[in-house]
Parts: sequence; C-alpha cells; structure tokens
Amino acid sequence: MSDSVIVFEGVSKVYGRKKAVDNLNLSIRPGETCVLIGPSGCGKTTTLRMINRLVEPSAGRILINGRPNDAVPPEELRRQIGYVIQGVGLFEHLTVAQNVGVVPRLLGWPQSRIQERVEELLALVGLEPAVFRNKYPRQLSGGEQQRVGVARALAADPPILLMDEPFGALDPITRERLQSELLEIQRVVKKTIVFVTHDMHEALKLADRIAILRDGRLVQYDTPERILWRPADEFVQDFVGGDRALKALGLIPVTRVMEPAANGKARTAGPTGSAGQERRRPGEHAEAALAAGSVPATVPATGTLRDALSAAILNGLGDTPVVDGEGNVVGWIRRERLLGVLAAFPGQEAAP
Amino acid sequence: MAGPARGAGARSRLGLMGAALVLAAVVELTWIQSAPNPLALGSRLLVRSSSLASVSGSWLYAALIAAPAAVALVVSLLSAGPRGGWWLWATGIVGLGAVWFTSEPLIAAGRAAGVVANVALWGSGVWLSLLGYGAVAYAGMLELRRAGVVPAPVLSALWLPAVALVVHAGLLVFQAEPAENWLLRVFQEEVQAGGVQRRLREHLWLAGVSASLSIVVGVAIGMWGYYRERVARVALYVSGVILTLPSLALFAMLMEPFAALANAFPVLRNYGVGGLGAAPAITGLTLYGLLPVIRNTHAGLHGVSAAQLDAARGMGMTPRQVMFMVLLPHALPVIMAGVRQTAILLIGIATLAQLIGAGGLGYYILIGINRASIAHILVGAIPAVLVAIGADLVLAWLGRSLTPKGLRLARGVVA
Repeated sequence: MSDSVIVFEGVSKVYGRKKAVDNLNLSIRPGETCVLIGPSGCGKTTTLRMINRLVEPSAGRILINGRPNDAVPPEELRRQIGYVIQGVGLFEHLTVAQNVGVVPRLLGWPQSRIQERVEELLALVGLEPAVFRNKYPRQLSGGEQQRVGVARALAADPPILLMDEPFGALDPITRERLQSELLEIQRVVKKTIVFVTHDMHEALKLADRIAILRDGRLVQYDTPERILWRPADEFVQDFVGGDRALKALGLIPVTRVMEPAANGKARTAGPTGSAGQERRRPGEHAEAALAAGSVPATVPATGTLRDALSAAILNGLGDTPVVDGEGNVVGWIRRERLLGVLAAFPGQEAAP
Repeated sequence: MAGPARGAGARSRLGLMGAALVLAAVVELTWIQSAPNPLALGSRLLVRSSSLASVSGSWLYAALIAAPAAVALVVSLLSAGPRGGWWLWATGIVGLGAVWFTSEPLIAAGRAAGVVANVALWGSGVWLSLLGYGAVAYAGMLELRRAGVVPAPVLSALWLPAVALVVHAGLLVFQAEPAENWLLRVFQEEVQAGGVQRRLREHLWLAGVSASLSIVVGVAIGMWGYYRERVARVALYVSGVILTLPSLALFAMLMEPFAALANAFPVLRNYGVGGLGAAPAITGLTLYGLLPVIRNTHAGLHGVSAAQLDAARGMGMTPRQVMFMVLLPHALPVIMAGVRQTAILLIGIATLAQLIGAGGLGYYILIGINRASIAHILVGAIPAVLVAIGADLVLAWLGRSLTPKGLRLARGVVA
C-alpha cells in the first residue's frame, strides 16, 4: 500500500537460533492506531523497536513514508518518531519542562519556542503547566510520570508515535483513565501510533487495527470487530477469550439499539423484527419501577451495547433508560429491539 | 523531636563517655612529659602527682580541668532534650578552654618550681582530655539537633568556639616569645625558618597534581569501561592490585624506570624528571588514587536506570549525548564521592614522598622518627591532618552543590 506510513517488508530478526520476528509483512496506515499484541516472547516489542532502529532487522526492510528507515542516521530517524516506554524513563536530573523539551533541544529549537511547546503539551496531557513545569520526576506519581512521558514523545510533533506497554505498570484505575486520555489526545493530534500491549481489553479500546503475533509470525491483522467476530484460527480464538461476543458488544455504541426519548409522546417500537408484538409505551416498566420505589439500572449514553445488555439483565430485560451526563433520560432500550439486534449479529458483523 | 524510645531521664551516651574519659585522664594519665633534652626519656607527671602538687595552685588547675567533666557527667546521666544539650555543649566548650589555657601556665609553674625540666611536652592526658571534652560538646550538639528546636545557622555557629581554639593554637606558633611547650616551640622555630610553609606547599603540590591526574585518568578509564566491560574489569583489577602494594615499594619500584628515562633523555632532568624527586612520587600517587575514581565512575554510570537509557536512545540522542546529557549528570554525585576518597588517600600517602626525596610534610615525620622527636612528627602530622580534613569538607560541599536538584530528592515522595 503506497499510502501506508510504516511498511514491514519480509522483516525477520534472529537472535542466535531463535527467530524473534519471522518474515513479517505489515502496513500501517496514517492516523491509525495499530496495536501489536500477543503472548510474551511473540516478538511484539522487537517489532516495535525495529521501527526506530533500536533493533536492526536481520532480513527485510522497513519503509517509513516510502523510504527505508536506514536511509538516514538512526538518531535523525528517532527524533522524528515519538517513543513511550513502560518504565517511562524520565531523566531524573531534569525538571518536567526540561524532560519534555529534550527532543526540541536536540533539534536545536530556539528556547522561546521550546518553552511555548512545553506549556502546550503539558496542558494537552492534563498537567497544569504552572504546577508541574518545575517539578522533578521523583516528585510525580506513576500516572503523572507517564503523562509527562507522552508529552515528551509528542514534543517535536513527530508523525509517528511508538508506545511499548506504556500503561503496563500503572494501577487499573489510572491505566483506564490514561487510555481514555490517549484516545482524546489522538483525536486532536492524529498520529500514526504503534502500540504494544499484552492486554486484549486495552487493545480493543485503543486500536483501529490489531496485529496478533505468535512466535514472531503475524497471525491476524484486522479491525477489532473482525478479530472478535472472525478469529483467523484457534490461537486467536483462545487469545481473545471465550467471551469474545461480549467483548464485541463492547465495541458497539449503545445508540445503535437505543430508541430516542420522545418527550412524553408515545412512539411505536423499532422497525425490525417486532411486527405483531404488543405495543407498549416506552418507559412504562421503568416508570412502574420508579413508582414502586426502586431505581432501574441505567446506561450512560456514551456506553456500549455491552453496558446496555448488562443493565437490561438487571432490569429483568425490561425497558432500560439511557441517561446523559446529568441523569436525564435521553432514550430507552427495549427488549424486542435488543434481542432482535443481538440475534442478527452472527454472520453480519464480520463485514468491515 | 526526641524519638519515642527516648523518654524523660534518657542519657547521652557520647557525653557520658567523653566526661568519663576526661576524669580518667585527669586521675591516671601523664599530663606533662619532661626531660632535660629532646633525646632523653624524661619523666612523666600526673596532674595529681605529688611532685606537681608541690607547685603552688596546682590543685586549682586540676579542679579547673576536672570540674566541667563532673558537671557533664551529671548532666548526661540526668537530662536529655534541648536543656541537657545546651549544658553538655557548654561544659564541653568550657572544658576544652580549661585544658587548653591551663596547660601552658602549668608547665611554666612547674618549671618555676623546679619539677619540670627544659623540654616539656603535653602528655596523653592533655590530648585525651581535649578529645573527651570535644566529645561532650559534640554530644550536646547532637542532642540539640535531635531536639529540633534550634535553627540550623545557630547549630553551625556552635562549632565556632572549637574553631577559635584551633585558630588560637595556630596563632601561638607565630608568637615572638618562645612557648613553654616543646611542641609549640619546635613549630615556632620551623615556621619562623619558613620550613613548614615550604613543606606544606610541596605537600599540596604533590597531592593536588596527583589527585587531579587520578581524576582525569580515572574518569576517562571509567567512561571507557562503561562501553567495554572487559576494560572495566581489567582496570578495576589492576588499580585494586596497585592499592594493595605497599606505598614505599611502589615508590621504590618507580625510581628505577624514571632514572633510566632521565639517563636516556638527559634534557628531561631540566624538568625535574629523575629517579628521585617529584616525578616518580607524583606518578606513584596518581596510580594509587586511580581505584576510587575508576570504581565510582563505573558504579555511577551503571546506576542509571535501563528505562532512562532506553528513552535517551529512543528519543534520538547520539552515544555522546547519552553520555554527557544523561549518564554523567547522574553519575556525578557518585564520582565526586570517589574523588573525595582519592584526595584524602593521596594527602595521607604523600607524607611518604619524602622517602624518595620529593619533600612534603613527610619531611618532618621522617626527621621526628630519626631523632625520636614526637614534636617533629607532630609538626608534620598535624598540618597533614588539617589539610585532609579541609579537603574533605571542601569536596563534600562541592559534591553536594554539583548534585542536580532532581537527584537530591527522595524517590517516590509525591509532593
């Protein structure tokens, strides 16, 4: 593919007798997040490190924007590629601002421009510049350190960002929050991201495309949906887990099955699969529940079909309200529509 | 604040030991050594000895010397916290003054009474009393620091009386009127003849040049060894072996090659190169000083986390930039600790340089040994000790101020 930012062409890496990466062919498109995932020792980190030549391939070549990545000295290459690692690796003798400014300094930017950029980036990653600018890494929590790590990688505005298990060492709550923030940041910066993880949940949340590796070979390279609905082989099927259908529901927004609230006006049920069924005013069940003094389970409007299913189960598959941030009911999940959509999934969703 | 384990009535063990040492010295140890001439064995006088008791007012001297120790003993048994601290410090300083300012008059009075001969030296009692009172004063300062109620500048100022005593001792040396005490008199003679100054200059030159060379060569080897583990292993081994060689043997072994060098290139003799003198001494000292610098450079560079190195390389630093922007700033505090060790080591070993004719304060120590003159040994040893302590303080301060602020912070303290 000529419009790909990163292309692996028959790349192998051999350590002694072990083939860490075996004849890898992979194209990564601009602005996409490609997650490399697989069990330990599958070669995902080696693959990532070959992009910025921290590891040199034994065979094959890697094209970046159509040019082999060994056409320029490695240092020059790396300054155009952001790099975030699990251990963060902030320089402990430098302040937060100096850490973020390292690559611009290597590139010889003027001091005023560096300072401006540092402020901008700290704000982008959610660290108040006035508070954090002059702190030292040892004064930061793990989550704050990795925020600085991301800001540092973005400092020189590189088109490509390499992230090697960046959130692996964080506690689950912080990890979840930083994943969401990364999605937000990515919406703004639109980088081509190569992200290594061994956490399928993280991969599904962040990836535009997932590359599953096993023993140095690429087993499947697909969108999260297709990975879940159509695993290439038994290995992928096992790797994504027995609850892959539920995981797949987690990729579908709740709005897909929601019936918008009609501002008190009664509306009929959805168009498909419910002909001839009893017509009921949406919200009847929930209103009854409210009247009886119990609160029905609700789904946030930003939630997924998986959340909707869970809430519906809690409500005895009765009508389930969808609420916005302020708790206003913006729509309803109805049993017939929900079951209809679920029943239609197998075989249909595999289409990209 | 006093720790929870230290309740009321807790004692200062150091203060107790210091006070007990003084009392024991007053009772049992030689206060004045006296002899008709420097080579004679002489007699030893105790403060309480009958001969000294015949000196008029000697009981007053004994009381003056012992009284602060008695008070300190009681204080350290009964009282802790800031009040006890102030008492200990005060009794320690008063005691130091009492020992110091009575020793000269005591010798003079003894001489007048005919019990002290021409050559009079302070005995072990005086030295140990000074040590004991110093310990008492220091125990008081520790107590005050632990109590945490005295501001830091005041704590530092508490050293001033002790410093003043050392300065006073130095000034005595330059006095025109000859001292009663033989040690001071020898000091006076040597200073007035300019000998001490000259030997001190030689000493500083030998130790300074060789320490600088050790640092430059040692850091360079340490950096090289960072890239080649084999080089590091060999360098650490060899510099370790050098340090196990007796220094005298090393100096002697270097005489031969330097003599040969000077014979082969006689022009070198104009620059002081020969089998004897500064050239082999500085070479030997430099070799001696390598180990601490190489070892600490090696350890300091390897102390940088793998994550920081990976990040540095991954962000596009060249190997040189990784070294100078990441590795060396991190290793600096550790390297400085090695520099400090080397400086102290070389100031000490430089006292042996006189054995191959390179001069230095060892000159007086060797004379003292030859003549069995404690006074001459001390004329060499005391300035050497002061230089070593001074260098240690200066280098410790330098090491602290060179440590990047981010590395002085404790790890994992979220502020």
